[in-house]
Amino acid sequence: MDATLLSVGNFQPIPFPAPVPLLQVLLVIGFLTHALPMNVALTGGLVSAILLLIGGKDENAHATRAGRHLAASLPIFTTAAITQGIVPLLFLQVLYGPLIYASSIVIALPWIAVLFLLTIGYYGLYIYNYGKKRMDLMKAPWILIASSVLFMVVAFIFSNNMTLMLTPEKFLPLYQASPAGANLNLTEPTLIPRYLHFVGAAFAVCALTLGCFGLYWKKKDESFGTWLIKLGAGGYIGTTLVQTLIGFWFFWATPQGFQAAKTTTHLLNTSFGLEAISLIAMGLTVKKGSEASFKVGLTAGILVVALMVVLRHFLRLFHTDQYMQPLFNAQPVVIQWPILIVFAIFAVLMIGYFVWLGRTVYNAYNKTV
Amino acid sequence: MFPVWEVPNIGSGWVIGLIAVLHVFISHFAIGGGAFLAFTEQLAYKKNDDRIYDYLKKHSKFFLLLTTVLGAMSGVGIWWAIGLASPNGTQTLLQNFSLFWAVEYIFFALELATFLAYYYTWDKLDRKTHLKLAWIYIGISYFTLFAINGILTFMLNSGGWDFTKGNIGDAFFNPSFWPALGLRMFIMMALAGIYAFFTLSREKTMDLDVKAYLLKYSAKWLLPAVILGPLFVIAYLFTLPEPTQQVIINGLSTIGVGNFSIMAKAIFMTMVFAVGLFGMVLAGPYLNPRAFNTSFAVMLLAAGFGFMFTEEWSREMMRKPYVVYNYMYSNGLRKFEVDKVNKEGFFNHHKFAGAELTTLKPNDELGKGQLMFRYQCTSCHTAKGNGYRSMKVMLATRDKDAIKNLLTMMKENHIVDNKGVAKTMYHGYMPPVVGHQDEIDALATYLATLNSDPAKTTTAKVESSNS
Repeated sequence: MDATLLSVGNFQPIPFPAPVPLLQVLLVIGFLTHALPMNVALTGGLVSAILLLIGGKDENAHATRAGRHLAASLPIFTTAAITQGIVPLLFLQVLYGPLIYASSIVIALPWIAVLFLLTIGYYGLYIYNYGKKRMDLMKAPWILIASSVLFMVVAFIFSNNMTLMLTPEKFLPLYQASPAGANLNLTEPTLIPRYLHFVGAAFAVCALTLGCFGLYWKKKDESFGTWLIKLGAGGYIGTTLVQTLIGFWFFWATPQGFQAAKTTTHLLNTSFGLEAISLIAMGLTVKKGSEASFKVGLTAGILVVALMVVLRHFLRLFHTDQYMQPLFNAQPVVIQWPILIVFAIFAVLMIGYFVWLGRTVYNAYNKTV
Repeated sequence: MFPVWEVPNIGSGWVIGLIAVLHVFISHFAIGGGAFLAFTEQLAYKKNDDRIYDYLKKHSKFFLLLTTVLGAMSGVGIWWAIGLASPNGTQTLLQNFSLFWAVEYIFFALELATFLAYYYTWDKLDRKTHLKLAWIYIGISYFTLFAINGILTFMLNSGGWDFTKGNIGDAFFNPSFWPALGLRMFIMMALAGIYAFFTLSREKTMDLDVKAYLLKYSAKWLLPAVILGPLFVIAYLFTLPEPTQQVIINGLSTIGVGNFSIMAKAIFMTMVFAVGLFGMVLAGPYLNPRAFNTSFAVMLLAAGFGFMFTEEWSREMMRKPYVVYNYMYSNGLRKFEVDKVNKEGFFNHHKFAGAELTTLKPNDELGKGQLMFRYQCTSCHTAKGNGYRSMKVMLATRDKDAIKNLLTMMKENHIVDNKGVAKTMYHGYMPPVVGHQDEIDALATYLATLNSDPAKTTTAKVESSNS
């Protein structure tokens, strides 16, 4: 057996508690629910800092207010991103354990550093929110920038691991270079375009979030609400155009077999169609400030993100199929029905509870503000 | 079958340990502290005392900053660290309990959302609804404990569960489940009181009578742990596997002659911290609340941390030499595969170690031995220097033959006769050494190079290069 095949681990001789396709679906859905808040948490510090710096010392300027509202929401987006990150990581480790454990150990030092970087960045958001009254209005945004930069380093480390796990032929040489895990996957040709493409997408999602803030504020302060919606739509158009260009770079860096695959073509064509709809709708929004066109653009934009998540998963399948498919085929499944049913019931109840909780908080704020 | 994460000096186990203790110290507060918020808010309404209400607002901010950031991140941190330090053990638990973890995620998400809603709606929601959120938080957060408790206790007491055919409910509700759940609940309540001492000590403008009242009130949160805790400890110990109980009894019974085992030390230290902590609380915030200050509160927090540290350390010691009791050893070797690996050879069994072997020159005895050490020993030992359980220190001046004899004995470390008597003195403490004889000889060659006696080290190196 060659060194690459020896580098791919096995499953434990324990049956899976649910069929592989179901676990794959949970992995993809889980990643989507993680990606949306994570994108805002990742770029929100930078975006809010820019808005605050544009607003300058004028506390009533739209930019200052928008920056403050976005910054105030970032701890919540970060909490949601971390919590929702549990689901994809859980199912990734279950399904792709033979690859992800090894790749994580190979880059163990940066991988464990994620914890510290994330914690510091997370506290930075609270330091800004609770300390801003005591800080200079023009200096405080730098804390947000620092948090955002730390989160971007975290994202870069994630990109390293997510690409490294697809290429087990690198495990052994990298590991032997540093068994303590002082490695990164910097020789990977898709690493930089993939990272930049995803960060670009994160700015687009952050812009959509600002537009959503506008939907909320429009009922209370028409001028500010409309300004936010237009800002969100304009920001979405700009970032989407840039990240689409980077997306081409990323696409051309992927293996030719992946580029030519029918699934890739279908997913890309559909997402281009949806992206065109979202851009046209956002263009109209920028011109007229229409709530309805923003909602159309928002829906199409989120669907593009969902399709990109599916395409990202397909890329993983494409790379790992040769190693993982024999393991999946040999892996027994004994469905743990009782706990699967409990999980399904609680998942539905959770959605209902979140709706109730959201309404309760919304009503509380709209009664007093 | 995975690479081994080498952490110089402290070993990868301590990376888990340090993150885990920090997490446990905060996460227990996240649950007990939630109950404290609910009961104390109800108290504020009952007494119609805004001063208690105002204190709770500040206390909940501390709670937010500690539990939702450091508590949550250290929880993720344990997962990160176990995946790096013990990938086989992590994979075993995840494959077996992934749906339980998925359910725990739901409760974790609900817990955080509920607390954020609770925190951000002080003075914005009516009292009844705000208090309702606190009660909901208690129920939800307790379920996160419920879910993880089944997995944690399973690691210590799998109860002879069959991994391929067993009912997963039996694994989850293993013999230690209920006493451990009760015990943790009392610890959580005690920690809620200890953390409240700290935030109360920071109240500089609070009316002294109210402060004294709240300090005494918080001290009472330790009472369930004082009264019922020992009973649950005993119940818990009785549910542990018999060999573990025996190791505990042997360790504690040798205290009198000063021959402490590490586990006995850990248990003894836990008792010292528990008794010391309760004594300090009685003498401090309960009997002398007006003299209570931040320094005293920090000492109580430190004692609480010491208690959690030694308690978790004891628990880890009780699990030795397994990561999943009676199923997987701490180095990832599955117990039922020992004979198979001895027959097949270690490098034919462990894929990544086998891959590493292909990069060595033929007859590189020392390199092969180093790989044997990396894959079979580094989960619990460092090699050189004075690091954690350093082999250089432990082997002292043993020469290669002495090491070979030791390893030969260690190869039979898993064997127990019909009467339950172990073949070696290391049984119950260490996994067996596995592999073909030439692989074990290579390990002896490598270990001999760590020898503290330079003359003997030279001999071993010469032998290695000649072979």
